[in-house]
Amino acid sequence: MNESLLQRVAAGDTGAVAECVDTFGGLVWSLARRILHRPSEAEDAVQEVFIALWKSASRFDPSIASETTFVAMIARRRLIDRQRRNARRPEGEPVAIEDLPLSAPDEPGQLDLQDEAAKAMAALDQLKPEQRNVLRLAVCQDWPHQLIADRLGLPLGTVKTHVRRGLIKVREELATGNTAPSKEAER
Amino acid sequence: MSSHAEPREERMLQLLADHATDVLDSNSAAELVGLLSVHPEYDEFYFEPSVAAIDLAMTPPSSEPLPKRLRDRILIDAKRFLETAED
Repeated sequence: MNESLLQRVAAGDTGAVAECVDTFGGLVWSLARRILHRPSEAEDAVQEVFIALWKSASRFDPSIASETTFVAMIARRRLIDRQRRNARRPEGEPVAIEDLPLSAPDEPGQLDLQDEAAKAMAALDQLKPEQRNVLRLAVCQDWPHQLIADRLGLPLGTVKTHVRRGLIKVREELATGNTAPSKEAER
Repeated sequence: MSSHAEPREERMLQLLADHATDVLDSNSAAELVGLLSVHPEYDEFYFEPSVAAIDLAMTPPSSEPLPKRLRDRILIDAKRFLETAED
């Protein structure tokens, strides 16, 4: 059976480590630039992310997520932790909700984004617009739940419920590919 | 599964969702640890792949490549990492 790139990294394959940098470098760099803004800090953070990735490679389970999603997961957690240490966001004017991108990438590029991103989008499409907006602000803008509640004029509990049900829906979609609506996520 | 979660499990799912998208205060973090010990089929990263997939879906990464000097630094880190791993 062919080992995945991350499984080869976990096994200490020197070539796989370099290949990992070339395959996922653009993705991690792009996330770092978006989350951290300052190029010098983004560079330091990307170095940290790759070290964390190599250390975590043995945890990769292809039955749970693709390599791309796994890498994005490790990177986001590191980058957001770092950003939160610096200061709570948002500073200045928030990005308008309608300005945020809504669609999945048109071009799949070199990574296997298309499959899981499309599944996530399919799950999100089944949510009510308000639920989807809340999830977008929490995940893509990293807004604290209280800030989302304040800006959208929603009770904090409603924001939390939208986030929970949305994540459950996406998780179910990623696990099964089944688009049948779940009672919990629909409410 | 989650569609018919009992109240304690639903509370745990809420805390896992909070953990994946916001900062848990110390009381909530301790509560989550306690609930996870009762439900070992879950872990603290339960929603992390979903969050990453949503992020990739809604904000596709740009095509900006990794800067060469940064790539070189990372490869030096990689060499050190592999040497340490062999020890």
